[in-house]
Amino acid sequence: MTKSMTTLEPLVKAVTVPLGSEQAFDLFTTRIGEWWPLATHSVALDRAVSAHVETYVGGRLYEIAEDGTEHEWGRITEYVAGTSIAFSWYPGLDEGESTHVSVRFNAVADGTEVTVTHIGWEARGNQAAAMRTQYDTGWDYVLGKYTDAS
Amino acid sequence: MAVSQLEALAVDTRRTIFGLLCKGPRSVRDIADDLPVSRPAVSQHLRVLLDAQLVRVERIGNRRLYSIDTGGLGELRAWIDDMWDAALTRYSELARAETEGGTNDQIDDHA
Repeated sequence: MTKSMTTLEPLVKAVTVPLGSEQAFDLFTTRIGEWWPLATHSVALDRAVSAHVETYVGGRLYEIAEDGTEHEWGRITEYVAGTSIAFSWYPGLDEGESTHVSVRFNAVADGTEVTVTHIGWEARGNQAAAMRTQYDTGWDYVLGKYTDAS
Repeated sequence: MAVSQLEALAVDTRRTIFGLLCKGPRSVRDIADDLPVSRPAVSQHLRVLLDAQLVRVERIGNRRLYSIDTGGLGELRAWIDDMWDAALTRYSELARAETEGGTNDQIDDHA
């Protein structure tokens, strides 16, 4: 990690999956509930039962908890099926405290490269802190990992 | 570090102060003017944020200006990094499970 005293770098992650871009996009969006790690990264945590993406600009990303409560994670700001999706990100918080995520799907020789860019993650610190209060097990896990690495 | 960054931000007022400083450098007085909190209380919260390396202070003339310590936010970044690692690992595992002869991919860090 490069540290900078003036700007905060976006967090960028990429993974290549052996799927066509349409399939990779579909798995990421309409099928998000099948793979998102709800138990550790959601508002209701072990009480979260499903995750959903409304597939249009202005649509919501949200989870549903076992009591039926819907917790909003963000709003879709860009939606081009098979190519890209971008959304604000504020799980468990007000929309005003959001950060921003964009995901691109590029066809490569062995499938599709999926690139996630998370901007404004320093404000995500607020979200992490808010989650921490409801999140002791996961918190210990994350801190443990952080401590192990340092 | 003496105080964990996430622990330091678990207090609402400190999170609000940190949020204000995300918008630009401010003095204790600027912060106290914006919040229903006394200057001594603001100073105390700033000490915790300084201790956690979330903010830094510089003296300009006779003013002390507090700003986000962009070089010290590793713990916050680690939190986000961890989330996307967990998510993309499961995403690619499922993608591979659905495809015969899938390759063994790794998540790459690009930043």
